[in-house]
Amino acid sequence: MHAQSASRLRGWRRPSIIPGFGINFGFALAYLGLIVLIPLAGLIWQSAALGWDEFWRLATDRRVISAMSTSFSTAAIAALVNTVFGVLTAWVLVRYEFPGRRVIDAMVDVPFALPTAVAGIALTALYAPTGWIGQLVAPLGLRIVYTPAGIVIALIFVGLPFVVRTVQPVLGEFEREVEEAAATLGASRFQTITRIILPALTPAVLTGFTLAFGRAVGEYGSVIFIAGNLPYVSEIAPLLIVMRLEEFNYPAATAIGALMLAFAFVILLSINLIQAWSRMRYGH
Amino acid sequence: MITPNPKTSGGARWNFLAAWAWAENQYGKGDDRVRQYVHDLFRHVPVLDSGARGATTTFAQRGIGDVLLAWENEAFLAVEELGQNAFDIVVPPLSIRAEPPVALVDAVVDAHGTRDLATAYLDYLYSPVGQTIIARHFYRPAHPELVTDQSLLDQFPPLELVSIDAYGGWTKVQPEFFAEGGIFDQIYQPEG
Repeated sequence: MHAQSASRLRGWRRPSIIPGFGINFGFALAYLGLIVLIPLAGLIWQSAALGWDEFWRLATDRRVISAMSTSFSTAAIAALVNTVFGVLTAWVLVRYEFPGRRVIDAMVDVPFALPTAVAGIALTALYAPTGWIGQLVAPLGLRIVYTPAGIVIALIFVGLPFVVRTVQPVLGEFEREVEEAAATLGASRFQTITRIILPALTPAVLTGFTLAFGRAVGEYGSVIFIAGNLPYVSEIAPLLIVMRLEEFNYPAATAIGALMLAFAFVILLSINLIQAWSRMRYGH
Repeated sequence: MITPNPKTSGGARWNFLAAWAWAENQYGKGDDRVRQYVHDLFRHVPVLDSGARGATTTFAQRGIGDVLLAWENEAFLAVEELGQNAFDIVVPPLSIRAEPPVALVDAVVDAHGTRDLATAYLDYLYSPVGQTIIARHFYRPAHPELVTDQSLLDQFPPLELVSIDAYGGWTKVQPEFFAEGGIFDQIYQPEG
C-alpha cells in the first residue's frame, strides 16, 4: 500500500532514501491543519458573514485604514531598528570574549518570556514624563509615551530576540579563514564586511526581520499601555479588533483580522521571495 | 483631561454619560451644545486607556493631564493611596448613578445547588453590616439609613444623580452612544 502510493508520488517528488514520507507528511499536514489552517479558515468564514459590500466598507473605512497604517508602519520601523541593533548585538556576543557575556546572552531572551503587559507597563513607567528616561526628554518638549513613538519602543522591545537569535548561530558558524583570505587578497575591512560577511548573513538577517516584523504587527498587550490609543493617531489595528469584540460585532472584528492577515501575508511572502533570490545569488 | 476609552472600558461609559447628563441639564435636552460639550471634552483627552484603573495610573503616577474623570470611590482610593494633599476631589453638581448590577442566575445556582448560599449573600449585601462595609470602601450605600456608623456618610457630599434609565437603559444607550459609528465615534470623525 505504502510502496504503491510512494511510487505514484514519484512523479512530483524526488525519491528520498529516508523512509516514512507518507506518515510524516500526513502528520505534518494534519498538525498544521489543526493548529493553523482551521483557525484561519474560521476567521475567514466569520468575516464572510459580512458580505462583500460591508467588507469593502470596512476595508476602506478611514479609521480602519489609519489603524492599519499605524500598526504596519510602527512594526516596520521597529523591525528595522531591531535588524540593525540585533545584528550588532549578535556580532558582539559571537566575536568578543568579555566577562558577563553569558549573562548578557541570556538577557536577550527576556522579552520572549516576559508577559507583554508587564513589559508595556514597565516601559510606560520608564518613558513617561515622570519616569527615568521620560524626564530626560521632557525638557526638550518631547513626549514618547502615548504617541506612535511609544508604540515603536514597545515593539522594539518585544522584537529584539528574534533578530539576535536568528543571526547569532549563522555568525557563529562563519569560518574566519574566509575573512583572513579576503584580507590577504588585499580587501579592506569595509570590503570584507560588505562583500564577504553581509552577503552570507543576509538570509538570516531577513529571517530575523520577518519574525520581528510579524511579531510586532500582531502585538497588543504591551502596546496598549504605552500607545495612548487615540483614534487616527496612536490606535493600532488589534485594538480596533478588541473594540469590535466589545461591541459584540464579531463579523467586523474578524474582517479586520482577515485584512491584517492578508497584508501580513503579502509582506511576509515578498520577504521570503527576496530571501530565495538572495540564496540563489549567494548560494546560502 | 484623563478618562479611559468608552469602547473598551465600562467605567468610561459612565464617565461619558455623566458628562452628557451634566450638559443636558445645563443646555437642555437635544441642544446641539450638549454634543459640542462632550466633543470638546474628549478633544482634551490625550490618552484613552483601555481601563479605568489604567487611567487612574496614567493620571496619578505618570503625571499626565490636569483632571481625571473617575468614579467617586476610585477618587477616594487615589487620595488614600497617594496622600491627602496630592489631589483635590471636585464633585460636580450633577452626575450619573453608576450601579454595577448584582444578580442571582437561576441556571447557575440550580446547577451547583447553591441557591440558599447565593440568596444569603445577596441579602447580606443589603443588611446593615453589608451597607456599612460598602460605605467604608467609598461606595454610596443604596440604603444609607442602615449604615451603623452614620459618620461614614459625611464623606459623601450631596449630589444630584440621574439614572441610566433616563436614557432608556443600557440596551438603548450602548448602540446609540458606543456602537461603531455611534455618538462617541462621531467625536473622533476627522473634520472635512
